[in-house]
Amino acid sequence: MLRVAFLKLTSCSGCLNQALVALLASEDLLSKYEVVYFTELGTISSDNYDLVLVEGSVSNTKQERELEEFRARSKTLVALGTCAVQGGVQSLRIGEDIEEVKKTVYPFPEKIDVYSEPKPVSDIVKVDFFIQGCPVKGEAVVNLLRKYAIGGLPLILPESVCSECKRKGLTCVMVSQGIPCMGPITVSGCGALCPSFQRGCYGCYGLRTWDINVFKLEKFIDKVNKLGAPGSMIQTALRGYGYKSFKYVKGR
Amino acid sequence: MDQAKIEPLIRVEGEGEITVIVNGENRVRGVEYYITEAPRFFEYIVRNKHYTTVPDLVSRICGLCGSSYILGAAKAIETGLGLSVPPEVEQYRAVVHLAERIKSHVIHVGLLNLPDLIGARTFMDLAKRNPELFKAIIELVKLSELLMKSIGGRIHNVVSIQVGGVTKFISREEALKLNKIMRKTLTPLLAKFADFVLSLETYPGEKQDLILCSVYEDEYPHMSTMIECNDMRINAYEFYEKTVEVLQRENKTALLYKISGKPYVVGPIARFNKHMDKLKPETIDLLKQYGWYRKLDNVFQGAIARVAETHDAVIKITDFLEGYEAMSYISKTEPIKKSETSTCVYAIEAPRGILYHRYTVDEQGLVIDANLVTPTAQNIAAMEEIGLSRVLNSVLGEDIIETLRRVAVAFDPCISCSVHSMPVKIVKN
Repeated sequence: MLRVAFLKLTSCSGCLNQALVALLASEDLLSKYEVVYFTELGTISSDNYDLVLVEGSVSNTKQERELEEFRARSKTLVALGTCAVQGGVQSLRIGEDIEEVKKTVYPFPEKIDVYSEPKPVSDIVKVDFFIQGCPVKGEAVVNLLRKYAIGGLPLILPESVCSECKRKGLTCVMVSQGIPCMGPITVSGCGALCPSFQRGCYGCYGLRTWDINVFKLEKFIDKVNKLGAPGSMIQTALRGYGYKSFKYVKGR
Repeated sequence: MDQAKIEPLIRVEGEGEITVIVNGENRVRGVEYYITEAPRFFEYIVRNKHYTTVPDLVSRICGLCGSSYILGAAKAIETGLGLSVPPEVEQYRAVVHLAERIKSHVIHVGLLNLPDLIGARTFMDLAKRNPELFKAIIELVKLSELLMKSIGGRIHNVVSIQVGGVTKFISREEALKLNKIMRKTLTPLLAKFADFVLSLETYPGEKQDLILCSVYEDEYPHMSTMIECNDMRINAYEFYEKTVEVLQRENKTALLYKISGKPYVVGPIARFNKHMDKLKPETIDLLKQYGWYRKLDNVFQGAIARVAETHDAVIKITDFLEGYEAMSYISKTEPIKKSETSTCVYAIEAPRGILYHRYTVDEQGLVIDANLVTPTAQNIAAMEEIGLSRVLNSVLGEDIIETLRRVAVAFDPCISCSVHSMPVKIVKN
């Protein structure tokens, strides 16, 4: 049996719940994996693990140390979901004075131990594989677990949401209806979910950056602006869901 | 004074911690429950965001009840900005929310709470002891997933609900197909699950005198701008912004919510005890068969309310699907130019209890201030009172810790969404 741990950092539990439901629903996997660490389920063995799935971004030194410990005790570490991979929507506070941020929510801000910048998992430890999505798709987790059980990791095919629309035969919501859509600059994996529901993608799988530079990005933003996209839609996609990639856009 | 600390608190969503305060003779003098989640400052990050982007943003607060956030935020904004949504569209959105209630209750009762009730350590022990029941639980979760995916797009952060309505409706054929699956598969599985939970004889019987709060409407509590606490009815804004006391522990940081100095309880037990007569007649019949059509005595019997609500939701959804006619309503999301700021308020019954939303939106449609009060944060004070009453003056031991852990699990705290609570470090003397 392969020993798998589920580690939660700063996040909503949504990806871990997706992963759990996907695992429980796959009988073939239940015979190959033993869940040895998952606080939600009451399993907290602190031994060595074959595989650790990490959800969430890193917010303070306690989490940073915990993550390092799990890395040291695991053969393979996977960053699960947009928060772990990119930083997630909590990154929207970056650039603001953290003391001011704390004050708006908590009356005793000095007691809160939190970095001004949430860090993606890969800023702290080596990541062997990652799955993007807010939340991740259960099928993607099942793929990973099946491939890992036979000694490998899935291939990553970097594409935009547009390619998924094309494969599904969906008419482009932006071209045909003028609906602002972040699909062209967003990583695929959702199966073109929002366009199939007659709305524009809002970028929750993270920013596609391997072939985007600052010039192309500005042109694209100009285009969606003209279609009436609210500034906060663009801001949330770039500085929230896609924070880490946005930070490294070529030419920025 | 010595302090003994236990961590982490297991079998709850997210991360929590219990602190037990003992005296020199090792007798329990105090109990505190803590949320150890790192804060994400949602009330800050929604500031300066256009109201159309707010529902999707706040749904990221909780990975288990995201549609309560999306729908609650959309309703608050629509109410505050005067956008009206036709009743049949409202009903459609309510189905997504009811499907989430099913998913959350089945996961909580089946995987997190049942192990306690049958004396198993985790759900894996339960799976070994009763594989057939375990299979029913998993199948129920999968069916609730199918419902949410069909109508909402995915099980967390659904995409079909937006300010002003729904982006895309399912067809009549799809509705009938779903209905067929529900009637054929979901109903018998639920009967098996309900039979197991309602027949258990391990629920503690002690009477707890609780102040129970839920949203108030003509139907079984779902969503409203009115709150009812015991016999008092009050609008949600008055209740959350003025009546409720938000207290801070001495020298500590976690916030506690109370009314006139007393803890109150939100969630399934509050909804059930106050409004069980509004459940579907079929659900009432089922409860009567097992002798459970009566007020629950304490929070440990919460599984009864969750099963009743699951049953009620399944019937409501199948009724809806059966009579469903495809719709083509175009959501009205156009910004409404208002000359002044609008206060947008709504309260929705998330699976764990009242989730209060308030967004103050300026004339440009941007949020300038927000307040979110989550069910778990509201229940912490009651959790501590009930926990302490069961262990006060007892000598600290494994059994005491187990009792306190069970109190927490019975409340089903979804700690990720406790935006108002925070980690506290305690030094062991």
